[in-house]
Amino acid sequence: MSFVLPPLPYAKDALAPHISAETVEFHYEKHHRGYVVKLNELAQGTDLAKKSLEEVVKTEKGKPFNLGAQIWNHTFYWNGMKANGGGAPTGKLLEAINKSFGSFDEFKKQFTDAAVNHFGSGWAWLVRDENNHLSIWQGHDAENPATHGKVPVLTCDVWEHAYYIDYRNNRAAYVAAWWNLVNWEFAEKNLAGGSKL
Amino acid sequence: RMSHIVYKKSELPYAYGALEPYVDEATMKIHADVDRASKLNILLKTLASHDVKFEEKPVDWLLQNLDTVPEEHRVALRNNAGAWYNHDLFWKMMQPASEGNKPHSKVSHALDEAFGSFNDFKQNFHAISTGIYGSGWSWLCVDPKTKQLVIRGTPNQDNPLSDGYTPILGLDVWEHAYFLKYHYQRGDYVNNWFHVVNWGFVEQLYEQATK
Repeated sequence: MSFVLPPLPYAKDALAPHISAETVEFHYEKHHRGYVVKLNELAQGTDLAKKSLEEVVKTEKGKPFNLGAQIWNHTFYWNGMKANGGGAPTGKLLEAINKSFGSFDEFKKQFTDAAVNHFGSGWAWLVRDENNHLSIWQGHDAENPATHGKVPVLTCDVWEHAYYIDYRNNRAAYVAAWWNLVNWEFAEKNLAGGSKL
Repeated sequence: RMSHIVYKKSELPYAYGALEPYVDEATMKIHADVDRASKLNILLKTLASHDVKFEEKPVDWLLQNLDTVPEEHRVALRNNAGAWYNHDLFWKMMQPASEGNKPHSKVSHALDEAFGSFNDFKQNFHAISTGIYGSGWSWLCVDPKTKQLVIRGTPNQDNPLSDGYTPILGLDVWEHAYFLKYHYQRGDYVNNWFHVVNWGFVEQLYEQATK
C-alpha cells in the first residue's frame, strides 16, 4: 500500500485572487506532492508502508511523522478553503465559537494573532477539546493538534511557501486574504468529528 | 561611553543578481529588502529603561547575553536581534562566484583538521543544512573551548553566539532564502551556494575568533 495525494477539491485558480493559481500550483504540486513522494520512498520495503496515513501521524516521530503530518495537514488546509468562502459561520459552529470566545470577532482576532505572529514555520489551528471547548492552537513546523488530544476544526498554513509568491514576507496580508476563503461547512463537519485522525 | 545604537538595513555588497545562477536575483530582491531593523530598534527602546544599558550594547553582546534580558522580552530579542545579525553576516559571507573560489589558508587547514578534507566538510555541511526541519540556519563555527571548527544548526533566527560558539560561515535555510528557484529541493540550493561563499570574509572571522 502506498500513500496517495488526494485531489484538490477545486481548480487551481479557484482561490484567486486571495491565493493565486501560481501559489496553488507550487504548493500542491511541489510541496504537497513532494511529501507524498518522499514518504513513499522512505516507506519502501519497511513496516511504514503497512501503516495508514493516520497511523503514521499518530505513531511515528521525526522524519516519517513530519512527512505524514504535512500530507494530512495540507489536505485539511485545502478542504478548509473554497471559492467564495469566507463570511461567518452559522448554526452549531457559530454557537460553539460564541460560547468559547465570546464573539466571532474575538475568535477572528485571536486566530489572526496566532497565524500572523507564529515565528518560523507552522500552522494556526482552531481546535475542539473533549469538553467541546474551542481554542486556538499553534503548531510549529508539522505539528498536528490531534497528536495532542485536540480535534482539528480549521487550519491556516503559515509556512513561507504558502504565501511568499503572493505576499512576500507580508504574512498579515495573506492571513487577511485567507479569511475570504474559509469553508465554514467543512469546519462545522469537523466540529462533529468529521476529519478524524 | 558607548552611544545608543540604531540599527539600519544592511546593505548588499553586490547587485541583487550578482550571485546568479546560484542564488537568484528574484529571491535576493525580496530577501535583502526585508526591514529587520525597525522591530529591533523598537524592542531596544523598550529595554532602555532597565539597569543594563541594552541600547548601547552591540548586537553580538546581546545574543551572547540573552539571559540578562528581562524574561518577557527575551524571545523577542532572540528572534529580532538574531534576524538582523544573521542576515547582516549572511550578505557579507557571500560574493559573486569566480573560478577557483576556495577557502584561504588558515580556514582550509582548519577544515582539513576538523573534517578530513574540504569535500568531507561540504558533505557534512550539506547534511546538517538539509537536516534542519522547518526554518533555521546552518553554521560553520569555532568552538571556543577547543578552537576547532564545528558545524551547528540553529532553529528560527537563533545565532550560535547564544550557545557559546562563534560563527564564521552561515547559510539561511528558511524557505524564503531558496524556494522561488529551488522549491523544496534545499539540497540543490546548498550545493549551489558553495560557489558563492566569500572565503576571504570567512578567513577574517576565523582569525578574529582564534586570536
